[in-house]
Amino acid sequence: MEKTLKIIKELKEKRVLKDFSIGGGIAALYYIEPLLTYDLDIFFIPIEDSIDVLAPIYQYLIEKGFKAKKEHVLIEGVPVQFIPAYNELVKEAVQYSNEVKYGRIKTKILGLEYLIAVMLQTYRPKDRERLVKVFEEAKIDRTLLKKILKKYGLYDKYVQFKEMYFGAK
Amino acid sequence: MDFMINMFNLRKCILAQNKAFEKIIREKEQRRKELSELSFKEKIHILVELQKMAQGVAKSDEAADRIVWQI
Repeated sequence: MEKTLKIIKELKEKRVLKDFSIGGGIAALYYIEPLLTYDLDIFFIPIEDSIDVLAPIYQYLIEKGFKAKKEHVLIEGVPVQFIPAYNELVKEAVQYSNEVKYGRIKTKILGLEYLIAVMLQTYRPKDRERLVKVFEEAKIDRTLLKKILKKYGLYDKYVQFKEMYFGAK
Repeated sequence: MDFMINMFNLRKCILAQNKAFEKIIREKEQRRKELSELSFKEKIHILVELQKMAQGVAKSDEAADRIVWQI
């Protein structure tokens, strides 16, 4: 994993991508109990807008000898999925990510409140499952969360979610 | 989703009916909190163990798509 994160960090250092942050199941796992997931999701901001923003990343990694399989690149034994920051919320989430350490490697991970907002926005069954755990186990900055949710029109969905699963606001 | 709502309601019934269950659930919650406070690295090691366990019970086509991390 350290080697994987080092390679991902290299992508930013070599300006293959502008910025990145760990999202998805691994970001959730950082804040709650370990949960089963199979890929490392990397949200990224491309160096420049183009039709195929993934191409430079894949090219760089394949030249380094890593293999692409379906939507992943297998980097040092870990299947990594690169996801371009697809809207303003995700772009802001990447921008305000937390710097964390994994062993000796410094990396970036979505802030908890942004992660919640992204999960509320995507709202797949696995997002709802993770959201329940996050609200039960993580220490959330409610003021920041409310601010983000209001900004991106997700506050009503949040209230609905809380009522459905916890019977309260 | 229905499953989770049902589980939530079931849990509420159990809590109301039986103090012993309440204690067990509280302890499980405590355990989950403790797990949530492990380091990032420790959690990733647990994740890999979970992947190995899940691989053992997955259908063959599922198993082919799901890679146990080699870290």
